[in-house]
Amino acid sequence: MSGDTNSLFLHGPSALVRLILLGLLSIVLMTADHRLNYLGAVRSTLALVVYPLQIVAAFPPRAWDWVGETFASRDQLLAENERLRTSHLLLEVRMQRHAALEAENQRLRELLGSTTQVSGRMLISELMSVDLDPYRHEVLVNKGSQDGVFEGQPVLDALGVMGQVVRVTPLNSTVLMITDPSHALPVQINRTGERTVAVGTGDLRLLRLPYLPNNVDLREGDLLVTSGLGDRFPAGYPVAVINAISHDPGEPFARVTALPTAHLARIREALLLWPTSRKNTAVVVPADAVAEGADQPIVADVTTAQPAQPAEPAESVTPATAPQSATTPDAAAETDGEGR
Amino acid sequence: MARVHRNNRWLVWLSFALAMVFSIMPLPGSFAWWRPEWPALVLVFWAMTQPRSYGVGVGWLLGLLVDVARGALLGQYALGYALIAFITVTLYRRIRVFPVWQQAFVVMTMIVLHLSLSMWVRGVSGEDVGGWRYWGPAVSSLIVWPFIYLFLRRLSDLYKVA
Repeated sequence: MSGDTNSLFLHGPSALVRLILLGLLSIVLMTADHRLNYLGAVRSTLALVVYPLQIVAAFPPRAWDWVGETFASRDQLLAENERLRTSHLLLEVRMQRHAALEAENQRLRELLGSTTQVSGRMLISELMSVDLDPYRHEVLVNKGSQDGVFEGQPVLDALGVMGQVVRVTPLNSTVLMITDPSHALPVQINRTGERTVAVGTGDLRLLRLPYLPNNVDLREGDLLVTSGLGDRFPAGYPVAVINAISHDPGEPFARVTALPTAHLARIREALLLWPTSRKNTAVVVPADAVAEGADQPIVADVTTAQPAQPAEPAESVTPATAPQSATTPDAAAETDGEGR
Repeated sequence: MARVHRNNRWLVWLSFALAMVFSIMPLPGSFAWWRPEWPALVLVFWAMTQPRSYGVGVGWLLGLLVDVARGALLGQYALGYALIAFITVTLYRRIRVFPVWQQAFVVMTMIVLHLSLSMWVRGVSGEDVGGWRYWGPAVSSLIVWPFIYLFLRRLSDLYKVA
């Protein structure tokens, strides 16, 4: 404004001073954001400014979808309707059994004297088609703290576990997917009950199971379900299917990878889950896994509490010896069956 | 004249907003790696043509908003954009008289600096940015700059932003 009198020279040194001050401020901000998680409020406020831009950015894909749906031919709609009807019927039939099984499960649990854990409240949220940092597997969903979303909340899609909420703003929230290299998820092999940790690879279609000993009973096609040990995800939700096992006799652990059952690259809707009581899993588990339960929830908490810092947590998941020591007895018992 | 200028300030902010929209708009598959740094380009243009009004502070603020929009560490883009604004404001007399293609290379250099800073920050916070694809935005920004420059030039002439 006042520069008009001296329009040839601007600011002089003040630009440099400003750069240095703002640079220092940036470093302080980054440190606070990375190490201390203090900046939730700042982020939420700024997120309100950015929100309209996100709506605008997400508009073209939405409009495209809308056009597609509006002008879909009648035959297509009829076919889709038919397909949905069939799958609905199938699901209904399966649900009948499910109700009976759930009742039975509850009865058995009562006999055992432990608390029940029926799946809690769910909320369907839509993914906002907005690109975030390509180096992290994060997506934005259109529900926020206004709908009761909280940090660390488990998120599923129709086929399996998708990830967990890592940042919440009033109107939307960010979900970290299980394939992010910084994410580790306590899982269980459905067939054998073997517990381990599934770590993200940075590839949307692949998970790593780095802590399985060479002699573990494992086959391609085995389903991994959540074990509930991390105290974040309720137990029993499908996570991934084992797709490759390689044993290197020179290494203590087998090299195992798995394909997530959730279609992480194609998700449109995500289910936000409110587990009924997050303490229950801890009550149920100790019966057979005291030794392991002592270590793994910590593993999961370390890795899940600070998802903003990828490689580091993945390294701190080193209590690799814990799963081994806790599981070798039954693993040994089962390897004879495998004979490989 | 002065009144006209102040009234057209909205155009600058609108262009910033649009650039941010482009920076989060979903791109198919591997195109996402080649996304130009739209907000940085627009910032360079305004900092170059009006270094008195749009400088380090504006760049930093824009970067902070980009941080939030893209889910990066708070301050990561802010730092890089403040640096870009600083270089532009310092060299604006030279950059202005360069031919467009030469400007494009200066812009690419600035984006490379920003990406290097950003890589350093990611390295410290433990993110892995392996691969040559990381430098994709610098190349695409180089290609896109002449169009951005001519477009914004025309726009600012049309609306007499000064």
